[in-house]
Amino acid sequence: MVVRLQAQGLGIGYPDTPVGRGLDVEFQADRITMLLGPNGCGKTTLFRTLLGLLLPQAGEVTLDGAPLAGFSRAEAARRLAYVPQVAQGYFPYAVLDVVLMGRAPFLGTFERPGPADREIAMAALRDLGLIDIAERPFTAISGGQRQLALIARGLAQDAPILIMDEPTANLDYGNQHRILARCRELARNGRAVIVSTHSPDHALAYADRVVVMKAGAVVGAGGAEDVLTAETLSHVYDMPIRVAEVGGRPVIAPA
Amino acid sequence: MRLAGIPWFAAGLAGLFVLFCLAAATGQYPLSVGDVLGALWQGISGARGDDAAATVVLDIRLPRLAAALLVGLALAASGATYQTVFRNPLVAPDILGVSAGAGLGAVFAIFLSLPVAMIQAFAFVFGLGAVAIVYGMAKVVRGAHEPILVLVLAGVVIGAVMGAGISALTYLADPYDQLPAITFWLMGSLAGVTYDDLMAAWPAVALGLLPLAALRWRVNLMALSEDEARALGVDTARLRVGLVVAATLMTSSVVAISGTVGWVGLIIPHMARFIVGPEFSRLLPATVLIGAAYVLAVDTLARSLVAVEIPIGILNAFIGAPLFLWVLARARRSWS
Repeated sequence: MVVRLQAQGLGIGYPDTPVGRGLDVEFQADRITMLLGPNGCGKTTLFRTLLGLLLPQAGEVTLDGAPLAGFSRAEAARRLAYVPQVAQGYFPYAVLDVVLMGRAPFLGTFERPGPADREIAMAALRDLGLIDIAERPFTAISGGQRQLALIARGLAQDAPILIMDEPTANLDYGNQHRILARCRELARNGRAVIVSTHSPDHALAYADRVVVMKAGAVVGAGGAEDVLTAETLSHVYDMPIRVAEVGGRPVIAPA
Repeated sequence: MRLAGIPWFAAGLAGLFVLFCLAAATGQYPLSVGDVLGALWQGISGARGDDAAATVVLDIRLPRLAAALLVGLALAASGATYQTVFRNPLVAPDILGVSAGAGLGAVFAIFLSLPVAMIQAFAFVFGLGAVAIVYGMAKVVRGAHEPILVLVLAGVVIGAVMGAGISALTYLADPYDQLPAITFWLMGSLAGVTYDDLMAAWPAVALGLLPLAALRWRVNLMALSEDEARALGVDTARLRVGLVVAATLMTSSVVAISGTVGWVGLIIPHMARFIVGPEFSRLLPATVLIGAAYVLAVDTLARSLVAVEIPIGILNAFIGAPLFLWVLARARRSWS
């Protein structure tokens, strides 16, 4: 099992407002790891620290065995792709232009994407079934398509590690499952895929491993069915939760 | 809408040249387009006759027309840059206090009765100074979040202070000599532009435009959120400073020769975005062409609409305000 991204004794947060400390996490190639925890438990702060966007307050992040702090921004970007939540506020860039931005880590400061970059971007769009809307404005497509387009940008970035911040937020039921199935496929192609989610059901259905956080600390990590017990979930979300079985598969429900 | 790059730009350039010839033919001493072309050829070939057409075109109209082109392209290009860098379609050169800062510098120089070259230098130094203060303030004030918002608000604050400074100087100015000069300049006018003004302004504009052109694809990444851009390997802080300095250089050097010509930096990038989309490698050339054409057209109207010249700032506000409302009404799709 190849560990791509790892942190030990990690302190996260800001100098005057620590968010969490003593976090041990590792993320492996060929695996989709899902990160769960209540609002404000530090998931996004952890992601920003893992991406090198925020300096650790303690400990360090290692990327392929070397300290992340030793990588330049572009070097890190060739290994770590970030797929944010779909946000407002974009200018109406064509979907293809948005995906082409994923090539930035491979281009010099004054360079523009060439035919090879376009080919890679088109391949990513084809891969995610977006080729027909390549020329449409990003602002004029549906939320699910936007999320897919941002994933396509992550693919165009060609990084072995994909970090996705709640890719299923704001999506309808069908799109949630299509996106997650796609994430699992990406992990099957050798990538380390890291996904945060608010749905334990999603983790049970799609995750190879889960990491559960509460109040800035990791309270459980391992196989989904081992970690996501009624006891742990009830503790984490501060409400009685039970795990039932439907058709041989575990399902989460309020107790 | 996507258009292929070069033929489209060439067509725009040709259109701009036609407009330029028409503008050169317009005025109190009417000329034919043939006269204009003949005079221009004399100017280029160096074999200058002393016919009236050559005098009118080369000595009187050309510096002003060139200034209109320069002011238009500089303000529009810097507006497009600010809008992309600050991810805010309602931002204009004014937002960083640039225009007000450059204005204060120029008024200060007029107040001290300094020569034209010093007016330019003062405008430039004060414009850059305003941005530096705004950027420094934003760095000190900002918490962990929203540096962009803090920056914009700091710009508003500094803009207000600079405006107060201009008012104070206007109040103190000699009412017979300096005050008319300051007031006329504040309204914005291209009437007094000389070849010397142009020679001082164009290298500064070129110096600002060059990095924008060289970085025209990378600028797009600044339109993403801070985290996204950095996760794509962009050194956002450095790129932002570079782009803002370049845009500020362009703005303050044309403010020095034309006074405060509003609206251009706000409206023109929107019009260009309608036509070619937001992608900066296409947006920049389109913005430059449309900005140059707009100021050329408005200035030509300003000097030929009625017998007495209307200061371009006034006419521009009358044209720009409704144009902006039209853009606002139509542009719901121009940003999300």
